[in-house]
Amino acid sequence: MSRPVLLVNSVTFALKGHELLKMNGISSRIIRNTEFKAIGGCGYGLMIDSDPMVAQNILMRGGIKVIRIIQGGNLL
Amino acid sequence: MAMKTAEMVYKTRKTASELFSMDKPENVVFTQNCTHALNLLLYGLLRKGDKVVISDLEHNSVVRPLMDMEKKGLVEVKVIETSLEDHHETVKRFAEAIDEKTKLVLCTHASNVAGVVLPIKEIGEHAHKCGVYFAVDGAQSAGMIPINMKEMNIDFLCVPGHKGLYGPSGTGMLLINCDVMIDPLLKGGTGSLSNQMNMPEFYPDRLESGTQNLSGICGLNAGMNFVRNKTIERLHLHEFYLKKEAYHCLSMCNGVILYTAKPEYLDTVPVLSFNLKGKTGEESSHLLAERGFALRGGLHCAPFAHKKMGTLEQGSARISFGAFNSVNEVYRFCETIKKLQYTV
Repeated sequence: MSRPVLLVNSVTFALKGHELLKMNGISSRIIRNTEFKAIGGCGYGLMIDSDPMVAQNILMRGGIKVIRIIQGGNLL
Repeated sequence: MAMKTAEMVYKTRKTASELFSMDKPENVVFTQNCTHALNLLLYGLLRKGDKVVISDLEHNSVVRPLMDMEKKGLVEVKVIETSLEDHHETVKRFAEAIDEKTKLVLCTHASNVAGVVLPIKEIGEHAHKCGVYFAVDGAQSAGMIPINMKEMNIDFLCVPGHKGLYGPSGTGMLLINCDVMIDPLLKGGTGSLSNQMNMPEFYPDRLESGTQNLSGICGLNAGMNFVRNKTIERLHLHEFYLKKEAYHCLSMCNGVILYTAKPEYLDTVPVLSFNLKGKTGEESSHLLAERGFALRGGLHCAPFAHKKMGTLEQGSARISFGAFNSVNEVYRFCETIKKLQYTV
């Protein structure tokens, strides 16, 4: 089953986001692949198991801009 | 491997943001040293027509970039005469100098020559009341006296890694605790948004182009954790005690001219300036180097401060104390000074 991936601007935001989500009980995995590079050119993604909107809100409250949310590699 | 390294770099940003009480780890920008951080701030923030207010104790890493900008007609620089005896007077002079053209107040937290600490919290309060950014040069204070960026009204803090933070040489940081987006000194690859021709509009990437000093940053993290574990308060107490002992001894020597005021707890950093009577700073430090003591002699890249102390011609010798110095070393130093004053 494909999982949602929240794309962020940098590795720093990915690491900060990973930590923020963990603090809020959401486990995530930092990923980087060629598809993300094609979107923003060197982007990072946080792959999660839960509702991406909830995760996006947590990240935004922490000052992290989510560029896009993709599902299993497809743009939502 | 790359992700592990990125994690360590992020951890270091987090350690720094916690140590200096600021909100966003991503606003901790790694630099080569404190000079680099100060240049990055000054050239990145100031625009044509801006006025900057600084103290008369600033290091050349503040004075030279600002003189360069002033010479080019970009900024106006106002130098405030600090009062070493009366903090209220110093704050008042800063407050009076701020006008509608002022964009930035920048002052050193502590003089690298006299070791005197400036009332930065109060100066920052006045700057903020007037809607002006407040920056602090923490070269001599970071890791040596507590710095809380939020409580002390500090928007920008520039620090070296290799002094009170016990990191390696070639490391430093610019910590940004406000929303302004400053311009980079260096432009290039950041590992982010690589399809864009312009620098990213977010920190730290905007200000960190090219390969970072990764081993240095890891070392800096270890240094800051050393400081956190020991606590700044305990380190300060130790260094204060050493300075107090050295001050007491040197003030009893007729052959020594002291340029540092009697140290007060939490109102001093562990540097002490003096000369052997009839000798310049370079000569005094050379005589001590021959006897196994490594001191810095000369003007310490701070001609403003030496002018204020009346030592612009002869300079001074400066001894500094750290966590790894012992009181026995201080006593040995004092005995050497006592002998030297009668033989030179």
